[in-house]
Amino acid sequence: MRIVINGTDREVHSPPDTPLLWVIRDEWGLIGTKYGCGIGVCGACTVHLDTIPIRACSVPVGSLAGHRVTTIEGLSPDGQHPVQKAWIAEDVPQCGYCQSGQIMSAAALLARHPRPTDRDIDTAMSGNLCRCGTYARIRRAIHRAGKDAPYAESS
Amino acid sequence: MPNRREFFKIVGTGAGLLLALDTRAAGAHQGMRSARPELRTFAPNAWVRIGSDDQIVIIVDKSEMGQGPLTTLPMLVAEELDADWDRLRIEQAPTARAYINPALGAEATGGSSSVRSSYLPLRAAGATTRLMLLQAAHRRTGIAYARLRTARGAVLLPDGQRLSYGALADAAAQLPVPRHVRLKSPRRFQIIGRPLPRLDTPAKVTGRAVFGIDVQRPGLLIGVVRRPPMIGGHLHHYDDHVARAMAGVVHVARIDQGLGVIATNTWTAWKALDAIPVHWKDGDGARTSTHAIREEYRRAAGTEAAIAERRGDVRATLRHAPRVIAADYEIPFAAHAPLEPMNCTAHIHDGLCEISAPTQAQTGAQAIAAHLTGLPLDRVVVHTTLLGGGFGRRLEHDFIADAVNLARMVPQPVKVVWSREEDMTHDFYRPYSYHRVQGALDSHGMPIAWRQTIVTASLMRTRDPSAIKGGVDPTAVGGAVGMPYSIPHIEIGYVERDPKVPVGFWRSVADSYTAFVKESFLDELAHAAGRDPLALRYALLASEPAQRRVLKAAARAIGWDRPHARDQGLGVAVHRSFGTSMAQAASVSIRSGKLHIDRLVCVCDCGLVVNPNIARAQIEGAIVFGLQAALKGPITVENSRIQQDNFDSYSLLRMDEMPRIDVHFLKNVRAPQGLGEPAVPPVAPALANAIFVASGIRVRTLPFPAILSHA
Repeated sequence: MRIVINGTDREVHSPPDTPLLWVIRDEWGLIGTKYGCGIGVCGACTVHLDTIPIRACSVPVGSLAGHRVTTIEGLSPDGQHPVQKAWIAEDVPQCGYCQSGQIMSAAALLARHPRPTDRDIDTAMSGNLCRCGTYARIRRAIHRAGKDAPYAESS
Repeated sequence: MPNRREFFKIVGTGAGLLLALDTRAAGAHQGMRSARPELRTFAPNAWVRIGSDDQIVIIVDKSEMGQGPLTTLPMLVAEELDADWDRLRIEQAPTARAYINPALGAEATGGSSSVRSSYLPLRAAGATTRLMLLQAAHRRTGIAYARLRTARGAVLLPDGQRLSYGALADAAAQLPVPRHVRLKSPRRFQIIGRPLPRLDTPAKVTGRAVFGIDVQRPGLLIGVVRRPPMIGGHLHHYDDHVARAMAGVVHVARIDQGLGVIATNTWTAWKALDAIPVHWKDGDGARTSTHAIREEYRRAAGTEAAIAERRGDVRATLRHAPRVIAADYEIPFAAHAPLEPMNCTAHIHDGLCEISAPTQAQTGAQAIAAHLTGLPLDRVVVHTTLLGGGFGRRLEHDFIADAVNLARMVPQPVKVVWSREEDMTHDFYRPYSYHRVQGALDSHGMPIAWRQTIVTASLMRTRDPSAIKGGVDPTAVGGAVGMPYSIPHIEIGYVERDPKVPVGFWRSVADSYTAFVKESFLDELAHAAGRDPLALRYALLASEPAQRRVLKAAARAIGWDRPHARDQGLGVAVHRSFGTSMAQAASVSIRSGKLHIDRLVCVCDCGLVVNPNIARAQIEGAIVFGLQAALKGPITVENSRIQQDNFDSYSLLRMDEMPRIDVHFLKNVRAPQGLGEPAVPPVAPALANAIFVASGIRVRTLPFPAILSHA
């Protein structure tokens, strides 16, 4: 089967029951998407399926034939996606491990709600855990990305 | 990654710093040159390298786990070196004696010591390098030192001409390392004190940052492990014939008390592990549980304790005081739960063991690998990756041992990745503790006696029993001893009990529970005496100006004297740990028995703040860490099994649960103190004290009950 990953059509060699996460990491070597819990509750593995944020650890790759998957590496060609720029401006990450997932969730939120309210942010981001406690900066960065950029999903 | 070993000794001498350079550094230095003959390198110490191509490299010898050493430590060097901040290259240090953390006696990152322990040595490293470059410029031009200046990676001549450090590197490398060097006055700092952005942020927002779990090597195999589900258990029997036949499975083997599988990829390895029926056997001794541990500790709280601190005569005072208050407190086991699960890559080849790991303890990793392989220490190389959270968990070396054990079985490199379940159920938890406290008030309602018995595990018993003195493990009573309140009669006792649950250093260690007891019980005394808890603290902190100052600022910021609603309550807590005084004030309201945190204020006196941006992030993060432990968890044990195995049963704080947090720093040019941990301890007591005011309910256990009612 084939999947379009970050704009490139690629053959999947892993067995169909393999979670998308491990195809992304082990087969394709895209290490920006992280393993955190394996049961879809921490959000570290968040990627976009077409335009929807999903937890790659809990989706078997066999169910995704013909879909487009976007990982943190494919969010922008140069790391200059409005969300990434806002993350840099607010200096959000501490350890950084959860941030790929945070950014993918935030990018999907902003694509739907270019000017999200705090409540929108709570709803969209509560499935992404951060043990370092960067939430306040994440919130500020999302507001900034919404304000600063004429927002366009670039994936 | 450089493989040079430089040995460097620094002795603080007050005005200047005396430096002695081991000559072995020069030999390694020659080796570097031969790699690129046209490139000359000036490497006067273990932290700075300047190439004739003008590339300045600063080497960071602390693990980056979010607390920012990849940015703050180079700031210390660059300040004194007058380097161009925008053109530095930062490298993670290899293992070498030069990088032993003087605060910990090993190459390790912990104890909120990274900036504290580096503040003088790294500035001296920068200043020495600059002085040698100046000398080289002086020799080349004949211009007097007084007329030479340095800025942005160059020596500036009086006529405006610029001699770049790279152009002087070769000449400077020929000079002897000066034995004394003068450091800048803090008033002249240009880099230290600025809220510079973190250097690791761009890599962390593009997915390029390499954590331990991301290590790639040619031919890399993946290892997974399963340890006994019961504490102290071991592997009795397993049947791996199905697993061995699975495509991609390379090896199945016993390791330690558990089982390991090596495969060509992660998912295959986990599937194979799941396909192995395993019979586990209980360890010796009775099965343990939270309930049994609690009952044992409660009984132990009434027994004679080893004395950790004694002032005056507590027992006589308690017998004769007009009023005595008593309470028991308990604080549960807690998991570190970093988002990146334990992992490590090991490769044994050519008489060498190469480790790539997200570790806080390079010396420990090296020692365990040498022990397991039989190789000498200098044949074990430890590469430190980024750490996806540490919080003390990565001071342990169990995950290093897994990788080394599995790597011994195959010629290829093996990356061991723990599942979240493995990580959560095989942590070294913040130890459970039980506290019995008695306080006496005189006829004016002033506290005159404080007796506290702390029952908890000893962290040093298995790590370094020589640290236990007179039956007291200092890591178990930190924050309770050194009582800052001027109460004339004090006795702090310690009763060591082994809970038969693995325990370890958890962000802020003993202070995470002793501050809860100290600050909550002081409030109990205040309310019993009908005194304002803030005013009582001021009165008892007469000889603790730093704590008084932060407390005063926090109380003002939260609006202590302003009227508030009936269901609303304000609480304060103040605590000094890791050299830093921290006050927190909480405003809460209780509606239908549910706790709402309206606002938390934190005021910090940590000495000079090297990078306010990162310092603020550390405090914000530590408060979230403290909130999680106050509101969520706990880790519990049943039938010797940890009951929480993932983030669904052990939840972390989420975005929608974040209260407003305001952080303030008091200005101070005193040498920097600890910052990664000190904001954790005051969170729970500040909240508990506010909850009491709002509801009349005194919370003496953590986490707080979900519904706060008198029922």
